[in-house]
Amino acid sequence: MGERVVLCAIDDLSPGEARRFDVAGARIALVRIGDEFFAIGDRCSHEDYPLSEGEVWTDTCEIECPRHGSTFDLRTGAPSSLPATQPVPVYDVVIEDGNVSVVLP
Amino acid sequence: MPLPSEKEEIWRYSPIDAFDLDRYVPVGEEQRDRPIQSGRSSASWIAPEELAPGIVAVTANGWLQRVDRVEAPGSVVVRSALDLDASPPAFGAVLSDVDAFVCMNDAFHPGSVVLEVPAGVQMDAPIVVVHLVEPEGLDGAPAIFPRMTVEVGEGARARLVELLVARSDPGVALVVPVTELRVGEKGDLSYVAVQQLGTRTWHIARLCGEVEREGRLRTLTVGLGATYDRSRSDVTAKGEGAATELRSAYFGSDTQVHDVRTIQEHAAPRTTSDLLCKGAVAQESRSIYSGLIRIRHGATKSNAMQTNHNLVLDQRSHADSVPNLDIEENDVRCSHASSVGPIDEDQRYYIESRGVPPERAERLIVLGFFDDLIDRSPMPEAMTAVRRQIGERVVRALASRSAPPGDVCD
Repeated sequence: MGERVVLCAIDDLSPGEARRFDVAGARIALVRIGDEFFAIGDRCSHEDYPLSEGEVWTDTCEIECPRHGSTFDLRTGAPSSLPATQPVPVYDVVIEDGNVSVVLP
Repeated sequence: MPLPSEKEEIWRYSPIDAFDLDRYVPVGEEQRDRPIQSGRSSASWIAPEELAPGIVAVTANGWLQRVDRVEAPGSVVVRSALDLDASPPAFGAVLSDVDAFVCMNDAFHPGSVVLEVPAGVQMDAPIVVVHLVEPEGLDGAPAIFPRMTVEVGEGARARLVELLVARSDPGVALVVPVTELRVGEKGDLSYVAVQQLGTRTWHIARLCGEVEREGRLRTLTVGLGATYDRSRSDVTAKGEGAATELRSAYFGSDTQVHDVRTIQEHAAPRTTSDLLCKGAVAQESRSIYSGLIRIRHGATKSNAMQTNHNLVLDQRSHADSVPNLDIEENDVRCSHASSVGPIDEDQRYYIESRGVPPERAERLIVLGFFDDLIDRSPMPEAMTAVRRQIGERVVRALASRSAPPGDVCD
């Protein structure tokens, strides 16, 4: 079991919002869809660019890189459209006492 | 050079007389690395695992931004002509049949994207070039001139996909791509171009192919987006025994105009060409297909086929189909066929009698209509996504016409 790091309170992020967090050397994009939270690496695997600045697609549970338009599945980190071909890392999210934490590997 | 007019046969039935050139401004060098706006792009429809590309290149408003190699022989190179000592010599469109749009591309393109596959090199994983068009945030209506030059050497084999997609909510734009493909002796190139630009974009594309002795070129162009979508493919079998296959598909809705022009030229003996073009038009959209088979003097024992079928889905939609032949040699075989018509009532009756609701029956028939083209496409793995896109377009077009949108998706 890896290290658990608190990122923010549940209410800090509104539904459909993405935000970048730098914790313990990892760059994480935390995304809220409804009451669910997803954490993925905040670097597009195609070109180093923050995914947290991209659009969140709540209907398909994806985030779109603002640079070249690749979308990534927030659950698996896999790219669902070109030009990216490689996945981004996915982190487990734990919600406890009104706080959102990620589990670092 | 004057702009073309509808009086010219190759522009007949097109809305070119309504084209307003003064409206557009060519994008300049300062656009080379501009950040791209956020927003949902139409790029989000082709999954990497469907295509499993070997090389992925991205251009933004014509400028080559990035090339990524997933798995490719080191000698297969994609780069910008700006990084070469000299631009690759022009061929095809720039020399054979210049019009004002090819001239404009020649003058304004921001360096060709050059793909070289050296002699004897065989690469099976597709090479994908994604052209992103992002008119948002530019001053005025931009004119964008993507250019691609492909050289497949002697005995080499490659497969190339060009995707033309709009980012975010696209404004008014003019997109004029020129793609030149050269296939060397016994070389083999499969090529797919899918156009999915914004609803206020004029897309005027020229594709030129040349095939040397016993080489083979297979092309497919798919027109989905744009308000006026024109795709002209000129393919020449230059060397003895060369073979060309042309495929085109389009789906129109709203007030879209899809315009496909093809020239199958036979310049050497025992050359073959096989063309199949299929399209469906819904709502107030219309389509034009005009094609020419030209058998040059000396191209004996050539064999050419040309087929265009159109499905007209609504009373207000319309399709024109004009196949032509120009034969300067005896001892050749040429055939052409063309049809324009609505959905076959017997097919509809049969499907509905099996309990399929009317909207779904129509969607099945339209997809079935495209299936033989999809089966005969040069790159089967690209077709799943294309078929899905056509299916979605059909569903949307049908939903807009039946009063309460019912359960038309499955």
